[in-house]
Amino acid sequence: VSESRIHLAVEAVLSGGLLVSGAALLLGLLLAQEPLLRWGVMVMIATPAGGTLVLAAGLVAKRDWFFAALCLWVLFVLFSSLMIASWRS
Amino acid sequence: LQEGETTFVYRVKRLPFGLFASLLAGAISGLLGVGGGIVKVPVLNSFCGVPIRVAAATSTFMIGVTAAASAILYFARGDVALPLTAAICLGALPASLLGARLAERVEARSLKVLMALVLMGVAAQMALRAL
Repeated sequence: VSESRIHLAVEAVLSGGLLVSGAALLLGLLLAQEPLLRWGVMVMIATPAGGTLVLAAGLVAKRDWFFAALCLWVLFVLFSSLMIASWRS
Repeated sequence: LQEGETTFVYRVKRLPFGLFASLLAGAISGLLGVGGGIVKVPVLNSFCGVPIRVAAATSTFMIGVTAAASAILYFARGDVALPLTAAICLGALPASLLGARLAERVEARSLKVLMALVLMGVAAQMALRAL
């Protein structure tokens, strides 16, 4: 897997997340729909995590173990936050 | 790094120092309420040998990921004002996209000067708040 392909995949995830969340937030504001606003914010929060997941997968495929481990550590921290949040609520 | 028809090759230096600086950036960001990028971009550029454009992009990506961790907790606790968040995001999105596109066209030297001005502005603001 080449570095440029990894970059393209991460860019696609980030752009897609941005478009979806932006559209949901805009519609939520225009239609005064709280569920849409909630989904928009959730997609926006999930977008960088999605980018990191794709980056980690790309780095594993590229056998760049050091940076793949760093990415997996970041994902672990994000997953821990999610677990703590669901445990508290 | 591709700039026009020229390709610049760079190698990241002093990675352990970069990791330590990120730790410091997180602490300063939490303590003073200023963005971690204020610390990360100059460190990545001046000490780790990362071009200013790449440093800015890396810092933005890092901030997005690290902010997501705390945003999840705030969101689950119901501390996020949804309409206000939506309005701010919709205002910030086009401006940040424009900034990213502009960064591709502006010379690296101009970006460094702009970064220095922003750092001086933040320093002056902090000093005024402290007095």
